[in-house]
Amino acid sequence: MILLNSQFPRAEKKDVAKKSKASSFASDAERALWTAGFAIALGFAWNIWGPRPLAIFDDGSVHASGEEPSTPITLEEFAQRLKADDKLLLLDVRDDEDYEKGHYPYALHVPVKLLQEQLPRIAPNLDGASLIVTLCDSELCGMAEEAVERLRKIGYKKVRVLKGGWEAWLRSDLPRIKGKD
Amino acid sequence: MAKSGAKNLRATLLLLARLVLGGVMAAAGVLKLRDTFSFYIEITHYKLPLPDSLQRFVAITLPWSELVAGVMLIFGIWTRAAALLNLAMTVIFAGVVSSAIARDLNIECGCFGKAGGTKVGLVTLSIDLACLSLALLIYYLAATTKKSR
Repeated sequence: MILLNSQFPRAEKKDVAKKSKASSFASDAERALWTAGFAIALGFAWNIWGPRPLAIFDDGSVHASGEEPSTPITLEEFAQRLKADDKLLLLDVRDDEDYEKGHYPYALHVPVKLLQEQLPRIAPNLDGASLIVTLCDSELCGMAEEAVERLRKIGYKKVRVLKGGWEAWLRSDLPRIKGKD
Repeated sequence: MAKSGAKNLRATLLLLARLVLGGVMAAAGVLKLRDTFSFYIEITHYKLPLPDSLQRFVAITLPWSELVAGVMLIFGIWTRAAALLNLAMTVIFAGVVSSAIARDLNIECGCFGKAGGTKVGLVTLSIDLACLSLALLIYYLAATTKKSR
């Protein structure tokens, strides 16, 4: 009987300790969430008043502060303009491997990582273009946007991203060839 | 005497871990928030099946989350909560980096913005896992050391 009685306080203590640990973790998690909320608020404030704002929704502009918005060009519009305008330039910024698997025969190919160093070579093509359309793998790849950003920085204002990239191209009847050239 | 020595060792270990992880995370945050757009581009290179707006949201908020959580660790503010936040972030980073390695993506890590220019690979994964372990260690030490928050 004495033994039994002495066991209850121990069990209770264990229970209390368990509950205390659980509530301590819950309180830590709650504080972590508050901290995350605070950081998110700071992030948005910085995005509004900071040096290089980024639009939270893709409204077609490269970034919110861009002086001239650059709406992605749809494949249909690109195809129509291609027929009417021979100075339209398609700049394919994918890696060599992806380019060789398939590309537009008249595209100018410069992987986005080499864009800066290849600029002197391709400047005449860019200068003579009525519109430069950049292309990468898909909607999500981001390299076409990066190319637009880099070209805009050095003064090319008529630059747009091809909406849907090469994935969209493959679904169209626009010409494509394989290989390096 | 021995108990006090062990306590001191734990406190020193906790402080060191806090300073190292806090410093790394704060530096990563500062380097990224200098150029949100470039960081967004780095995120898109991972080709994650996420909506574009969510990737933009991450680009806007992640640098500040790293900075705030890092600074909290350095100054010992809500240490356990900060460790949990860092733990959550490092788990996600490790998952994303592992997925990029599995898909054989040859991309920049973007872990420290444009600085460093490290390619995604086993080195970046090891750094992530080291940070993850530090966050766990900090939480454990802070939770089991008296007077820690």
